[in-house]
Amino acid sequence: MPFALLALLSAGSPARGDEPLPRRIDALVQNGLKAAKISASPRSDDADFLRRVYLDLIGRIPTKAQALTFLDSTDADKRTKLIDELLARPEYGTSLAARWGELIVDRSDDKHNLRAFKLPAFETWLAAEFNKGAGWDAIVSAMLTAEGEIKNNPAGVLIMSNRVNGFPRPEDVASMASRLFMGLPLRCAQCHDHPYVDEWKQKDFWGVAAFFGQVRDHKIVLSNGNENLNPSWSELPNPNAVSEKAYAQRLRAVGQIPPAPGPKIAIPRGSDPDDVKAVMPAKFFLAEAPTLPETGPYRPTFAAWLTAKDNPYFARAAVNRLWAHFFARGLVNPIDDMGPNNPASHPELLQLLEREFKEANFDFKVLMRSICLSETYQRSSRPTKDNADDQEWFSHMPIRTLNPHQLLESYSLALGRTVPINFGNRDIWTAQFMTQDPDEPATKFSHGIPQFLQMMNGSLGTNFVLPVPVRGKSKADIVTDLYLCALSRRPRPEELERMLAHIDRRLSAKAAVYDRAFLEVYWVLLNSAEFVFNR
Amino acid sequence: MKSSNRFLGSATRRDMLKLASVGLLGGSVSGWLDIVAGRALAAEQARAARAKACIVLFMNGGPAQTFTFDMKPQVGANYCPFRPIATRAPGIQVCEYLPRLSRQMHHFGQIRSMSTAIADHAPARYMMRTGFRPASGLTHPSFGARVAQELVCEDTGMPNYVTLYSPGAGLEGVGAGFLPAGARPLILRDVAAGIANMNPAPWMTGGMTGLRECNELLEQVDQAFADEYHAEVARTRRVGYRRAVELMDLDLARTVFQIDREPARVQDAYGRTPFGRQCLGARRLLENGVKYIEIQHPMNWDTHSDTVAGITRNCQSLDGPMAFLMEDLHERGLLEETLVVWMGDFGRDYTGSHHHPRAWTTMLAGAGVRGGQVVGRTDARGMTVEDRPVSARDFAATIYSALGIDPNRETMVRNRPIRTVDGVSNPVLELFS
Repeated sequence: MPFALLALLSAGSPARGDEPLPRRIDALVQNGLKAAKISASPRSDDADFLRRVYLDLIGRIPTKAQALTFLDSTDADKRTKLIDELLARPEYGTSLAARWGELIVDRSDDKHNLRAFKLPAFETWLAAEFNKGAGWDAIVSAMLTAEGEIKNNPAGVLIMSNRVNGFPRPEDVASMASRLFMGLPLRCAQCHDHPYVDEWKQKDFWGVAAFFGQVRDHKIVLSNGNENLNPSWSELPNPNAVSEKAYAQRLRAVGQIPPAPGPKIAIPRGSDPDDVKAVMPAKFFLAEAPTLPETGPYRPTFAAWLTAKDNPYFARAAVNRLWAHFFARGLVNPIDDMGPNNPASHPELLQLLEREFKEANFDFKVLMRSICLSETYQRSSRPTKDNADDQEWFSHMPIRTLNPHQLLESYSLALGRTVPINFGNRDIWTAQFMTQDPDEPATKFSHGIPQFLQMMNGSLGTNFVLPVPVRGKSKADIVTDLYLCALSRRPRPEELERMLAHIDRRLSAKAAVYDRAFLEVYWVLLNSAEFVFNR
Repeated sequence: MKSSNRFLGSATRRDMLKLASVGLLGGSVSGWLDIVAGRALAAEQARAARAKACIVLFMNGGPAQTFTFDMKPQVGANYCPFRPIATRAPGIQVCEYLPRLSRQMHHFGQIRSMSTAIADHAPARYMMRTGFRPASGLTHPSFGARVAQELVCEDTGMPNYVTLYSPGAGLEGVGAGFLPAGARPLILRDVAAGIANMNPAPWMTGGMTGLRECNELLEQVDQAFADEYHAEVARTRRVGYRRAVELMDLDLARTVFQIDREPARVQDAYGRTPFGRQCLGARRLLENGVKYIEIQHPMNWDTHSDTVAGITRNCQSLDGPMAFLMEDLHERGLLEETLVVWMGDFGRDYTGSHHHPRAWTTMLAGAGVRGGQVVGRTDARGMTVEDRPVSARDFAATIYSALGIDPNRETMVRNRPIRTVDGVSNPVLELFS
């Protein structure tokens, strides 16, 4: 039994209990429920669990065959086996990579068509890293320290995503890195000391930005003002690089302060590029200023500090984000505002997850397995008498809106797709349903009229075909198949009756076409709340 | 400008206007006066605002100011061979390829001192449409989304904000960001195409009647789900579906986009070009209650190469439709309450080929704008601003103030207060005096 082994191996650490991790997660959540005097919902039924764990781990619903295999299995250990099976599928990595692709290349500001031209390579790289069990520390370091062209090193997309006026903007890189990898809204300290957290001064923000002050595109063409679509990143002096003077000139022309030499950065006072408020040396956030060589690179030093096991932010931010992936809220909320002014709902649980994440060498997969094995995750989303209003104590699983990727993958699978959707089509279709920022909680529902019209009458709808044959089967069997394809469960008797009544009504009409009556039932199922939400 | 002295004494107000007109509010005279005064003025302008709707003419790529509305013939014909011509506004000249527009210049107040700091198209457009630099993790609402959110009283399911998109142009910042679904734009590549997906799928038996019956069945299915899971989101979604079905039934939701219903002479006057059709469509949408319409000029103003010929073509395409739009709005009495804005990503240097955000031109008309005036001044080559610099924030605050939206109001977004326009802004209120 691997749990027993794990417990044995960790017996030396006083911070860890003897229980396997899922049980310790449950115990800490239970403490909160007890204190709040709220009851927990019972365990989810198999159908609820099945659909949920497919969506959460591989980003789509199961096929009819996969659903039947699970639902009809009598194996007492089938949930554990399914979790392990899903985590071993390549879609584990691709769905996680698509999620990070949305965070790193923002759709609202897709500079230089990064999504179309560079994101496929970036997501392919990221998915492979996740699938081979690379640590989050190594992945983040690769992104922050990327050198060279994106075709050779796709990790460079993060830097390119923060390029303005032809140059990576150090303050934008620092802002993204602190938000996504430290869980801190440091951007608010860019123009002044932080308005809510007294300890965060403007110089602390710029100290972080200074590590990124010398990253440049050494292939830049300064003469024509065009954006270089294939930059080559480097922060070391390069014999082929344009002169410092020409470089500074171009920056000044667009109102940007040229980089200060060495591991330093100039803080602008306002919009005037010549009005420098101060020059700030590179300094770890709220920590020491490292000794750095005059000629870089500086980024590896920052990445090593950020991703070290004793860094107070890195693992904490990652596990909070991971928890929110499953429960639509972090242990600290908003998930990118983990400052001292914003305490965790379950501080001990947060600490536990943080420790275990480091113990697992920052492999998300290990932690995801334990969370999915917990009773907390496996609870029903049907509220009890007293817990319907609870959002904070994890008494029941919240109803979550499928994100655009989950929706597209599930929709096209339900319509019988067997081959993967190509990246370009995927991005165009998901754009229509990207109706909120990716970090908004999944409990929010933000579709509007265009999305409803698209679901009801849209182009995917006109290629609407039944995913199962209708000849030679009873009407009840066909409807049951349609429920399994769309909702991963069999219909309840009253549901079956209602659908059959609709079909009979339709077939009694003169002009009716046999298949179309079933298509209408399928239309209802794919337009239903149950399809669009993860329960 | 309408007088509204409910909140400020008239003397105070006059003093501030005087300060504003001599440009003192534009620089940092003191640490607090400009902020306090700027905010009070913006708030008052918002209260006095006359605009009930807005049409934006967006020039994708960044139009060259010295080739169009801030001509510098002294730079020499080897850079800009265009001749300036006189306009109906005394003292204001435009380029020779804008003859019809020259007769509408008395409607426009020009801002010749736009001064921004982003020279890349995507983030620049985002900033010019929202007033914010792009920031990781938070999408800001566009002016249009704010207008749709704040100026609309009745939610009929009809779009309140329409973007007339042109292929190759950018949509950065046009969205509603953190505002609700009703504030999002309807984006149309061709105005006559109207709202997408308005008809039941062809396989659905009985068309609209069939769809309504299916929707009733869906209603029962969703009701059961909402009850079982106490899912408020499912009920919200149901309301949206009902409204979408009602919209499919609504005649106006189709006819408003049908520009061929206009008399032939009107279609001719606008010009039967893509841009002419957009301008005519915008006027129809405006008449039917759409509050904010952005027309993307379907030409490429990013004139790195083929500069002179490119700008010539762009001006020729712009001239007739834009001029007739102004004339038509004026004759129909719509200009009184409609703000018209001409803008782009940024400007260009005096050669017309390179991006240049440090000095460029935008124009406003209608809704209380005193036409025929120029705010701000650039140097002899049009490369630096010599008077009254106007930042992206100042510009945003100007648009909002004109539309009656207080730029200082805060919205809570994920526990954080976000102001309509961030930081210190000095709206160009001189335009309205």
